[in-house]
Amino acid sequence: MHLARIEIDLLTGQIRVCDYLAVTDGGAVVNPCLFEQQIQGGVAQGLGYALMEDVSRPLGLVRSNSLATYLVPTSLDVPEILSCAVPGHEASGPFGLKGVGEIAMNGPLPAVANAVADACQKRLCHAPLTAERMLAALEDSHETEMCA
Amino acid sequence: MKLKCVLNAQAVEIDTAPDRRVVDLLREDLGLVGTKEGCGTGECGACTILVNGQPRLSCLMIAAQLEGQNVMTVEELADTEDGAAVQRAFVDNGAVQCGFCTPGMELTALALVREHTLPERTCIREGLSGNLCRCTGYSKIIDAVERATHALVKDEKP
Ligand code: FES
Ligand code: FES
Repeated sequence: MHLARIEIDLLTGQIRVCDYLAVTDGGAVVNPCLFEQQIQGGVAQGLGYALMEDVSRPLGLVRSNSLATYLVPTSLDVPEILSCAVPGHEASGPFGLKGVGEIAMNGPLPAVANAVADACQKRLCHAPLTAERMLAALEDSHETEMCA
Repeated sequence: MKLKCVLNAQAVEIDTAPDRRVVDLLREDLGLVGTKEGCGTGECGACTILVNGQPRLSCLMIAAQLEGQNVMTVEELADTEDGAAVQRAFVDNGAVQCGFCTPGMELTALALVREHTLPERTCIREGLSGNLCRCTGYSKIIDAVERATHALVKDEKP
């Protein structure tokens, strides 16, 4: 379960994630500190995927081919991420464990997109939710963006 | 050219081409492979070193720029009191995952804790914003820097 609190700049369309909560069923937790770090890292990557990481390839040419054009989140783009583990025991895993390597990446895009819809009744259907896309949706009088 | 500088608290004289990239000089010629090259274009901060105490990107510097300067790489970190505190805090707070950003992060963090006593988290975020980390989501790194500053302040009190 992922929950994001966001702010949208109505002038620029920029979305800022202010707070983030991730609740994860990760089976038995061996090392709570590293569990939390895995989740926080996954959420940060997921927020990049949700807001800025864009593989732009017009005519098959990769245009975002450096860290100057393919933007990944910096320490200023990532909010404080609160992580809670649901205590569990995975019967099919060794010692009741599950992997938590990638699971946290799945939450941020839907969590942020739902927060956007909740804040301004606009459903953005194309990731990443860039300022340009947000602004276009805000200026469009229709309730939802047409999903292709 | 004969390059004279202080490298990790040792006065050294190095025979090198003046336009040798500093990251190559350190890693390939001097074997100081703690410094990492991520992007090579000044975007990621993995190659950060301290030049006269200031964080600098060694992938964007040439050897001649080090003439007469005081250079610190991650290899010297454990030999300084505040550097060791930063390193300890990174280990204790789970601030390392793959470790590729860590040398650059720790040197940037060291410059930060030398400049600010007990900085706010927002200040730490700003200070580290030139160093990308793909693994940790930054929270644990910021925890570590915070703890390091607290440890250092406690040490100073009699
Ligand atoms: S390698 Fe120097 S900034 Fe990326
Ligand atoms: S620990 Fe992997 S990039 Fe920071």
